[in-house]
Amino acid sequence: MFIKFNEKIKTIFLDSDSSEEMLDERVNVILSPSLYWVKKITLPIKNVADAKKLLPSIFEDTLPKGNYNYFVYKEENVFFAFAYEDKVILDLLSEKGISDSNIENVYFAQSELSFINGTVKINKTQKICLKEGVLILLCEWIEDGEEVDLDSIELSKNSIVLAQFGHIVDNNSLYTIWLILIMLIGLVTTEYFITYHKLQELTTLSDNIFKKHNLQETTLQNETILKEYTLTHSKQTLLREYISIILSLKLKSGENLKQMILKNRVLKLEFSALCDETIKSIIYTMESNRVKFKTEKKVNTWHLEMIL
Amino acid sequence: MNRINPLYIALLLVVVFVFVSLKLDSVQFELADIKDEYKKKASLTYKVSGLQSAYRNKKEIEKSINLLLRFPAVKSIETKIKRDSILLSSKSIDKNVLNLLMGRLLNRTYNIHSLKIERLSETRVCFKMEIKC
Repeated sequence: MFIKFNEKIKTIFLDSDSSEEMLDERVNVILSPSLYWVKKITLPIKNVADAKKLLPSIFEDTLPKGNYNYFVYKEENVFFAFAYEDKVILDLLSEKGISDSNIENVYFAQSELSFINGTVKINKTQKICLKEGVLILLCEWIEDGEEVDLDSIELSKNSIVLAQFGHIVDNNSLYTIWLILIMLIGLVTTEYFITYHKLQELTTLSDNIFKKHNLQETTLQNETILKEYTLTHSKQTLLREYISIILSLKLKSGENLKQMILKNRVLKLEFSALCDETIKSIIYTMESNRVKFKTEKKVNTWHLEMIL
Repeated sequence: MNRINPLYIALLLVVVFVFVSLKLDSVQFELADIKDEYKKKASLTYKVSGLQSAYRNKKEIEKSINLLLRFPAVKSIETKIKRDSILLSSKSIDKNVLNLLMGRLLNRTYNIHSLKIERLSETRVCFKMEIKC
């Protein structure tokens, strides 16, 4: 691991016309001037950050149609502004057999090779030269200059990061999507914790409701008790209704109710000296009130049984 | 170039969002279930405890019967308290007094288990009642 840390990383010059490079090692990539647009400008601002905001408008009229990313660095009082297409560079890298994972850093030839004097041979077929401070790629027929060893160059800090899907969605939109997603996650997580808290509270309440009201432990036991109580309640209501009906009966003088007995859910009444008319009237009252009853006539008494 | 691709982070956030949403959905489903269960239990509890306090609360029943029997007119009523019932009886009571007492007894939610009213004379009756509690 220690050895790997000190390992010298190879530097390559990337151009569509450069010879094929099948590399299976980590590399620094210097982009050929054919892969980017550069402008050497003087701006009435001091910071690179402020200059970055102006880049799209600086290149507005110069660039052909495409999805461009921008970069700027300052050298003395001059700004070097760059426009490049991530997809074009990434496609070229993959064409050359260089995988993304093997790329250490990506630089512009302008920032890394601006020290050269005259024409310089960059590889077997290509040459570059500096014209009015801007690095340009030369045609093959121009006579050879001295060759530059790319691996010996001390690379600057002006590297760029290539956006793999920059042509589909730009970084600003991505950051907006991030923000929306983070807010949604925050909202949903808050809702989750609130719901979870409610669930726990309700579970505790539900578990303790029977205990709190001194009832049996299970729902089944309590349902059985409820059935028993409901039956009792309906019988008691019926008893009161029947007594109310009995009290509404009109007896003639000499006729009387001798006895009233409630036992085993049967209400028995014993009348004495009832005439037929009164008996008919009592039976009519019972029937019209839909009372389940039985009657029995003995020598001087008349019995009425009402079932609860 | 070793920087994590922003799109991968967006995808990760989408996965996290889907995961949290699913968790929320399952908790909400559970909450709806427990709400239903709680509603059923609460309804059962109020019904049972309401009927229980009316028909099985021996102390309260005893107390209210004692209050009913405080009047001098019903002094002849004997009270006998058993393990699960209260017996009220009188060998001879005025029919008007009994009428008053019955009116009060029947207007309360007592579980009248047995009852016997027998005519003794034009004005007197024999009375016996068992109230379950």
